[in-house]
Amino acid sequence: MRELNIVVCIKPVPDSRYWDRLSLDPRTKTLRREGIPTVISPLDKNAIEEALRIREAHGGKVTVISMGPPNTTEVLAMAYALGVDDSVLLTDRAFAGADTLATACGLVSGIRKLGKVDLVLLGDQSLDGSTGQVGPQVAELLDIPSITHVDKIDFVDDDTIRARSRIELGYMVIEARLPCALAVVKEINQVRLTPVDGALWATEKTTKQWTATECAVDANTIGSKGSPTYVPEVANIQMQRKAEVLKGDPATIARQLIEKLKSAGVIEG
Amino acid sequence: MPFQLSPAEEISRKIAQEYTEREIIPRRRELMTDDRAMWREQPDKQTRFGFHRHIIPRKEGGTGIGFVASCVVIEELCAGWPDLQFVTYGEMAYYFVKATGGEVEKKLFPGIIKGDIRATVTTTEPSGGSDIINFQTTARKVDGGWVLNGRKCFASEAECCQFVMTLVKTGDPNDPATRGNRALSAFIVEMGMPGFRIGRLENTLGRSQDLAEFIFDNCFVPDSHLVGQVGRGVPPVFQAVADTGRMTICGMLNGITLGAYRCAVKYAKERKAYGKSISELQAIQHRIADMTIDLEATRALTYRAAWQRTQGRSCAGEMAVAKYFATQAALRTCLNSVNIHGAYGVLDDYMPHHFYKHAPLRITAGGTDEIMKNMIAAAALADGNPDMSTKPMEEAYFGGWPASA
Repeated sequence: MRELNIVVCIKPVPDSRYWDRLSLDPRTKTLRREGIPTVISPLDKNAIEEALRIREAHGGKVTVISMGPPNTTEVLAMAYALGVDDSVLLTDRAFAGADTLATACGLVSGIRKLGKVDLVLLGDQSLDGSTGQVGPQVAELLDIPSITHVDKIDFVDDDTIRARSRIELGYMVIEARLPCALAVVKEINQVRLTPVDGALWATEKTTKQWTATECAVDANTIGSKGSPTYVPEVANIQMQRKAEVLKGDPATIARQLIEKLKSAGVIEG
Repeated sequence: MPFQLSPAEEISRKIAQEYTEREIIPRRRELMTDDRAMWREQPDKQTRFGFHRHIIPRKEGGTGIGFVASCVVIEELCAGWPDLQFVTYGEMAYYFVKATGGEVEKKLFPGIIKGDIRATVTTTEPSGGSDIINFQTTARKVDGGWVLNGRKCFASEAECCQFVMTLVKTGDPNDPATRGNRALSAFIVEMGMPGFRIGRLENTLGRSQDLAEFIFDNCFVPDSHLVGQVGRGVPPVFQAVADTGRMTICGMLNGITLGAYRCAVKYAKERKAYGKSISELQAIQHRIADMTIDLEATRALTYRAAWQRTQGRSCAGEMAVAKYFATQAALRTCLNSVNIHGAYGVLDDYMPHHFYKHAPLRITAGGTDEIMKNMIAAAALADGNPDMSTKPMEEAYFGGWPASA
């Protein structure tokens, strides 16, 4: 098996430990993230883990790429701590306000600038947006095969990959020529604990920072300009327990309760 | 004083946090009913993972990030479970073999770097720990080595260690040449050496089989296992270990403070009373404010002393200040946490109970409050300045021993 150049697209997301501090901004219709630490989106960590395992088995290079404000380098440092070889941050006001398509356009411009790439790995969906769209969009824009919901990867030969894709009530085994893009689910692996020496790797390696101009990308395809998505309204949904007092003798109450649970679909019958 | 955690120290905290969240916190329920549940696996896991290598220079196979990183790691581990840290024992093994050198270093050092070998220290005897001149355990010179006889007690984590360093009497107190602490010498004793065994295991508040008794019954120890020289008194490594040992205890106490604080804040936000979250009640807010002050202050004192040590300066006085305060802060914070939880705070199934139970265990470890005050006063009066110890470590007590990680 030949050595592969692997690129992993990663997204910084609000740390789930601080989600109680998240709120929606009714004006911008986006999440208010100020003061909330960001981390690598969990499934993107599975993608990094898979890339590291492929590198450990066959050699090659793992590069992570992300898009965001300059302080995203702190999140990318944690990818270095896990053991990746290189990291790139696409950072420019022109990239800001991107929907999934404009995000994919931005990422693709960076991937192209990296040169020859054999495999693009992504998390199947992000922890915050959860659209699952960026992986297939990146593949489409790069004009390479795309496989999503991947929970197993094998290599048939130097240029063919075999991936198992989870579908409802089963799975599909798909073979594809390299280069291709795979979006992975959490079942694909268990992410390693960040090693103690990762603290050194993270602080001794530097993330490359590229602007839109450096990536030679059409400004109309990125950021808010390149985003066809329009959010007309956002609403906070209040989750509340429904309280209802059942009256009568114990047997009547039990019967009423069973009926109510059945009609609510909680129990079958 | 210019001080902030370096990026490497911050990331070391994240790494320890991730480890704790995956390895320890999911098993809290098990530990609540059996506090020994993880004692068979965690010592190897933690040192093989390499947490103890922060204090070891890079050229020797460590990370060299330093003592603050070590404190931060221990803090996060103990915020997961109040005493489930074995980092110290990997660190002590390193100090001991470096101080001994020669064959011992050659034999044990690779295993220490790999995380397979840990060590503990045992000096206290049934009659006391501070009165070292009157120790009863002896070493008699024989051909090629020494024969040790006597008993030591209250050693921590004996069962997870591969060797110990001990202090015994090699001289005659009535002989002017070996008077005072010159009558004492230190030895490395490996587990499994004939005549050396673990005796009674003492249960303590919050822990079963916690502190061990060591029995030396005509135990032969080769000359290579002598630490330093005979007749020169307590080797400098003891002072170094005492300081870094207190650093560990501060890390553990700060972990208890942090753990009690975290669960109290979470509970205060979740718990509803009088139609609102109890975190909106001023009485609760004041308790949380007190806990925050204690947490911030105890961390600052500990990190400052550890930072000073990383800079290659003695931190005896600063560490005594930190240890005294860390003890008080942990006791206060645990009590606040129990109070915020109400009756749930004393239930076996809730964490405040466990943090609260473990805090007093650290009062005596590394010296009582009174011993700390003696040290603080001695340091402050001797140097006559508020920074207390400003001597380079070599000058203070190391004598050529590696000063910084």
